[in-house]
Amino acid sequence: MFNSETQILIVDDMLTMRKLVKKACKTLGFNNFIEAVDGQDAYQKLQEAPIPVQLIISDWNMPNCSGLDFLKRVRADGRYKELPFVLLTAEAEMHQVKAAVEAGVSNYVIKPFTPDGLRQKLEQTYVKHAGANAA
Amino acid sequence: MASVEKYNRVLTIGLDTEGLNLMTSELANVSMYHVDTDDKFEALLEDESEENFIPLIFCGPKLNQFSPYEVAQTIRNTYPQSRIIFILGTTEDLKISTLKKNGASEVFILPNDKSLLNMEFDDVVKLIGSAPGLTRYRAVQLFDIEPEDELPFDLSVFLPMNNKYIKVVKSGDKVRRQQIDKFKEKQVGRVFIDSRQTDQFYDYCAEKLADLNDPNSAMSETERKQKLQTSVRDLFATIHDGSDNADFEVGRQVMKQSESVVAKFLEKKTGISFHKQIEAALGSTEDSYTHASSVSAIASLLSMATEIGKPEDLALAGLFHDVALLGFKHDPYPGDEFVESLEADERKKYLDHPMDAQRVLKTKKMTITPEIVKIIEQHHERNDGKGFPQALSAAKIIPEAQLLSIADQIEYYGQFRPGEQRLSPLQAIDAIEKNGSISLEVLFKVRKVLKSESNISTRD
Repeated sequence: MFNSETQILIVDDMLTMRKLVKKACKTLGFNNFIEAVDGQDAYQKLQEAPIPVQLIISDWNMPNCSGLDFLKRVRADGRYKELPFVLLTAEAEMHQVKAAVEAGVSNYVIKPFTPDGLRQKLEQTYVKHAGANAA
Repeated sequence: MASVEKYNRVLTIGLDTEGLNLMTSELANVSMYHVDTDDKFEALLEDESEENFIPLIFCGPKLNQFSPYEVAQTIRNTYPQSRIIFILGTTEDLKISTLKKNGASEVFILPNDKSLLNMEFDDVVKLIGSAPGLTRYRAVQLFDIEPEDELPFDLSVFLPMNNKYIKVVKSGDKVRRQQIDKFKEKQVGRVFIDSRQTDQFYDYCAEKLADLNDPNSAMSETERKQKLQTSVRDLFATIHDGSDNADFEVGRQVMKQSESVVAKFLEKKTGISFHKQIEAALGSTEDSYTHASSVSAIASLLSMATEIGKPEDLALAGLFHDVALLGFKHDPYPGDEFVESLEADERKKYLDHPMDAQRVLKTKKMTITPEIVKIIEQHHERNDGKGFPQALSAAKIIPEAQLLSIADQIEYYGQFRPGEQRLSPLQAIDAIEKNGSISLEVLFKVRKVLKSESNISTRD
């Protein structure tokens, strides 16, 4: 299971949303975070992280490099093909979830989200990746 | 929603001077908490207290570090059940639709939207309760009152010489003939209700509409049709091509009232909940809701007054006409330039949306009648044969679809867009006649409905 030591990369162009995601994750017991402001910044930090990133939580709509483009970049990189990746999406963007699934997203969370809602999605994500690794 | 007695605060975030002055003057007796700096805003997000439900949050553009989009998104996530209102002075750097997608419930642009904002304040007072000094009055268009009608709301008139409201009919009392004669004699064009009684007012109007639409009514067919036309005409009558914003804003208020009345009418006539249909089909996207709700109301009322199609069919067609465009990034406008401006995949989605509505509704486990399907499928066809998706000739376009198209265009032309002139419904009809999309026969019928001047509709 993801645990308190899990290194999480939080990607959102909005400072306050990064804070909210971090706050929700702290409620769930997580303690290690790296923050990035867009997909480009996130990819760089992913590669440079002193402790390997074990979970990515990324917004969809960002300037410079969107969450979807960042996802595609991550999945194209052999090192991160199986890295759990959760996208945060507004309800109005639900029609784009199909594109994200095809690109290899692990799960998605609809905004606004609660810590409990986030926890359920992270549990599903872990089960999905644990099952894949076992196979 | 939590008990309002417990949470009777209003929160303001980043309001500019004009917005703050308006809030404090219009809601003088309401307890407010003001967040006016970036630090206070960040502290708000850190708030760990359990009882952090605030029913109403008014936001503005004045935080330095945080854009309105960021404020909307984070406040929506922090207070998911709250109504989040933005009061802005300009939208030069902002898209209202994007602000709503980020979490704003409603956006008001001052000074143009002042009257609509006042209606919002009415709802604040209604929500917060009957504290002394908080009575607010709303101007309404009365719906075919007759002697001996028992009104479920208080009715007041405004005396400008005394600068006060006088109650002329008490809730539950019967309206006397002499009172109606006096209104007529003094040409009293607007009457007022306590804003806390708007639900009763909408129920009353919807009952009247339902009665007038009932072919089994005790009235003769001729009398019923005449009353119906006049009543609907009166409902639209304040939306005339006034040249100044004040009249136009009153017209917009009446339009908002009309939406609520039609919603209740639909519920009474068909048992279908207007709001639940919207939510099921469109989700809680406020932007889509507003457009669909307005088009639905206009189309339904025009149907009643022109006797084109069934009002309930037009109401539902209006609700669902753009369901296949959910999530579409652009703000469609009439004309070929819009279609040509789209990328290939967006163009396909836009051109296919009339035919895709039924399929999309099926995915949401909703079905509509073949008649409504046809209205939606044809609502972008044009009288000159240059419409889409089927480029039908004029003879093949059903009048109900033309009525829906008129309603769609009236709603479009009536919206505030920076740099563009807003049009009253009558002005919109002129524009529609110029763009050649609708048959002159249908336009003539609609123009007849919209043309009369406003007065209270009274009948002996």
